Amino acid sequence: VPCRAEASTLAAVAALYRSSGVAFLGVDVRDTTASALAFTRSFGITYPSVTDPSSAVTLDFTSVVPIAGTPTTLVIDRTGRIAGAVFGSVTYPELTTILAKVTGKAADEAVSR
Amino acid sequence: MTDVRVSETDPFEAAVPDRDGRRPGNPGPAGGSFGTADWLKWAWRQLTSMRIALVLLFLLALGSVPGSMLPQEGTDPAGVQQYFTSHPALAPLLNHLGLFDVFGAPWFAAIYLLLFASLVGCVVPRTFRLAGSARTLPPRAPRNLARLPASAGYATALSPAQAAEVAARVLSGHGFRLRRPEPAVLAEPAGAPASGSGPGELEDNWVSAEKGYLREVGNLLFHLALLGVLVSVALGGLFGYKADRLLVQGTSFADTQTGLDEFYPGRLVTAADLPPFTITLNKFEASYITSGAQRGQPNSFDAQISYTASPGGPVSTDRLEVNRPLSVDGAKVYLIGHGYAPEFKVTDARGQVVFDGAQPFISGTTGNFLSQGVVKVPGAEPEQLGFSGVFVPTAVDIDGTLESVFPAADNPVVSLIAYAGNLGMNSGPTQSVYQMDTAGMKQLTAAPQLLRAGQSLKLPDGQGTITFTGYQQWVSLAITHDPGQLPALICGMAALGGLLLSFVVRRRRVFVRASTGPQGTTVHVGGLARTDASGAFEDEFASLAAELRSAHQAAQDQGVPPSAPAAPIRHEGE
Repeated sequence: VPCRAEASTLAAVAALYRSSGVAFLGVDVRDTTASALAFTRSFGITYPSVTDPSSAVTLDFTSVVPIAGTPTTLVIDRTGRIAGAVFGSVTYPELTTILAKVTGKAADEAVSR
Repeated sequence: MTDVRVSETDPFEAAVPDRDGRRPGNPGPAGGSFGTADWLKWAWRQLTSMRIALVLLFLLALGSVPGSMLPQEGTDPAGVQQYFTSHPALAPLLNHLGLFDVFGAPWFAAIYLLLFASLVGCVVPRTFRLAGSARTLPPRAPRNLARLPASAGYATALSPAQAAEVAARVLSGHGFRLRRPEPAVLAEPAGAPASGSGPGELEDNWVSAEKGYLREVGNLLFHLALLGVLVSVALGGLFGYKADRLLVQGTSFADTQTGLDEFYPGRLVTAADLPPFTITLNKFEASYITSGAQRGQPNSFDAQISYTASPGGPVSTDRLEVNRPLSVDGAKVYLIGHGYAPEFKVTDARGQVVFDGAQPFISGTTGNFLSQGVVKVPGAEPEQLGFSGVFVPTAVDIDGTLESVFPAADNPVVSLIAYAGNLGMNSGPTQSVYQMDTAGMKQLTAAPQLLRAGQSLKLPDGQGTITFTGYQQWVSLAITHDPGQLPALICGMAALGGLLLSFVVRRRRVFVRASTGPQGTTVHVGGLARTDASGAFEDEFASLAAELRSAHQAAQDQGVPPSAPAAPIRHEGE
């Protein structure tokens, strides 16, 4: 399942870019709280998550970025603009490339600070 | 569709085309030297003929039949899967023919487009012809009116000119379009040399009258409306969409692609075009007949919902019933099904709650909502857990087999088989929430375990616990938007109206000729109707002839020459 496949990538990149001021937020679409908590436990996800059983967050984003399915990764820059979007399972290079552009720091620089 | 068209020359005369739209004397493809252009012309004439249009219409109807006989990808993908497993030899063949997606199949599109071309090729020239025929005047009155299918004759004391004038007034009063001899001929000087035997005064006192143009209007309306129906259907296919969502009581969903279970957009629709409503299912009630032969049959369904048309908007409440959809922002939300979602709470070997919620189960064909489903617990540690189960709303043990004897949840029971291992969810494609891949799992319980509400099943070796905490009901909703629906209805009604008009209205002509005979002025009246299956024209003609006669009589009795005609009369050359 794509969202389980990308979970460890997200957890790793979140840890990498935390010091660069990149905040990760998980949106748990169409799920129960118990399952979501179990999910974050299994994958060692430390960034905060919100539960969105009715896809309300997706709806709010529709006019900006139509979210076609789960998982979707959106990168929002300091000014609040969408700097990048990945539909489907995100890979390490995809996400770090976008984040490097937004923060001005490549993945190896980000961790060395 | 050119069997009843108005020919360019005169619809009443010989050039009326045969049923294939060929004119007499127009050679078919069997003719001697027949070039590519001739072949194309012949093919086009065939395509736009009534016969081919009817064949295409029939094929369109025939082609839709498998759509209702076989499960379709668009509406029932699970049914298609099932068909593949139950008919392994036949299904691939049918699939190859596109019979599981009839309305998307190339051959269906071909029929559709050919019919469209046929109609366009028929309607466009017809429109021009009608416009032309609306402007052309009736032909001159034939010399011998007695040869016409309906005719009458009588003498009058009026002069031929007066008689013609009176006749023109009467016919004009009946809504006929008139044609009179050219004024130039009337004003011809008496001494001028007459051409031939000279039409002279004998030829000059006649009236041609024609009526029933609405027939062609109706005919045209029918064809245009048929075209409109096709366009409307295409409109729905391009700009409409269909979507499904299964909604458990007490939960809500937003009309977005992630909020929908299935989304079938039209060719020019994207998820961004979905109206941004949110629907919450507050309560669902189904009642069933409790006695008699109909016992267990549904009595009524009632889904109480609240919804907002857009985020942050006011909350409205409504009830969905079968065939009573909710209309919101151009979309219609239909209640199309319901079922049970048993609620479970699962703790893993470490005592952590790893699942707590309702899991929709799907009822099979056996009736009484004996429903199947799976509970997947990928977050359980150290091993993932999975349960395949059956929910029985009114459980009765019949010879060791669990049966449901009533669709309402009077005695709900679940029967579970527990598995532990790898659910195969950490990689690979999206899985169905109604199916579980047990390839990487081992069965923990030998036999299915029965649980009543509140009862728990302890898994062997301290692997965890599952508790059947209760149940919720779910409804399945179909969300549709078809912008072609209303136009299709209007066009359908217009087509019917046009057809009626073209059946009821007859195109008919009446001629009056007044001439000087041995006994003074003789008035001849003749008439013909183009298609007169009902024979009503005979009566109409008889009453018209009688009216003309009495009008002539009245004018004669008054002894005054009739004044200028009340209605304007169009003269040739105007």
